[in-house]
Amino acid sequence: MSSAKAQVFGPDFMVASVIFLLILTILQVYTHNVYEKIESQENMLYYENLISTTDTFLLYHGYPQYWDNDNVEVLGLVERPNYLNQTKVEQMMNLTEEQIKTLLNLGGRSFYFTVENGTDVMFEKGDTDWEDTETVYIINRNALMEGIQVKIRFLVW
Amino acid sequence: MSPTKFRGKAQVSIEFLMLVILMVLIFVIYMPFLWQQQLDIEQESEYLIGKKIAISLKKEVDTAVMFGSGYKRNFTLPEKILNSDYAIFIENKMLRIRWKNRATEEFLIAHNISGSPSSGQNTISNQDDVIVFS
Repeated sequence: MSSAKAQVFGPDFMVASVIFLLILTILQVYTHNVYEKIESQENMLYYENLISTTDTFLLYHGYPQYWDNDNVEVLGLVERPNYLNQTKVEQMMNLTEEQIKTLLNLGGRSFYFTVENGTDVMFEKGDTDWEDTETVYIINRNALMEGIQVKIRFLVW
Repeated sequence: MSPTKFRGKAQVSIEFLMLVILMVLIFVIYMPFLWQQQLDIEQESEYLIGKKIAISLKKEVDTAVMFGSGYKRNFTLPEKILNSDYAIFIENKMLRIRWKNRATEEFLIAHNISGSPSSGQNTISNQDDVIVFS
């Protein structure tokens, strides 16, 4: 009787069970890796798109060319590439955060935008509560404004 | 054959049957889960390709707008999103890529756009601040 039992619960069965569970585990690990790869590609794509959006700030005058808070359709802060127009930056400061998110197509994400002259923050807009977020995208750009070099910082999370 | 041998065979058959049922049960429970995961992966991959197409088109339009009048360039878009056909719509500065029952959108900075891009070869030009697809 004991030898009959050994036919089912013996080493053959153990090996078969291990192979069976191993296949399931490999399938699961593979799926998990594919998910991670897709997520990583999505993040890269979003960052790439954000860089493109930020570049529009610094290379395009916006629409209309001399836009104000009432008629802005496309946000652009320069009068010529990489030369910030202070009036446009001030106009942007008067826009609500929701308006800016809509104009930049940020969806449900938050942002923080600053223009610094090396020592001081000249302009800032947005939230600063990014500490607990999983991913923060940071874009830094240099530009000129009223003849001085400024640093533009744009954070999105 | 002795009675002990009969009992042994019967027990082995029942245990074997139970084990087979257990394994089939694990598979039956696991398969829908695995199937759903594969479906999610396929959908996410499609979305990723759709988003890539939308972003590349947005970049083409942004570049044409920022360059100004006289800009002209040829570019190619994928024929399909994985195995699905897709359509491109531009309406009120919003670029929309649609395939199956899904879509992705990108905001364009161009004010005036004439024509519409499609899968395959395209030409984009800026003619007096009008972005023309042909």
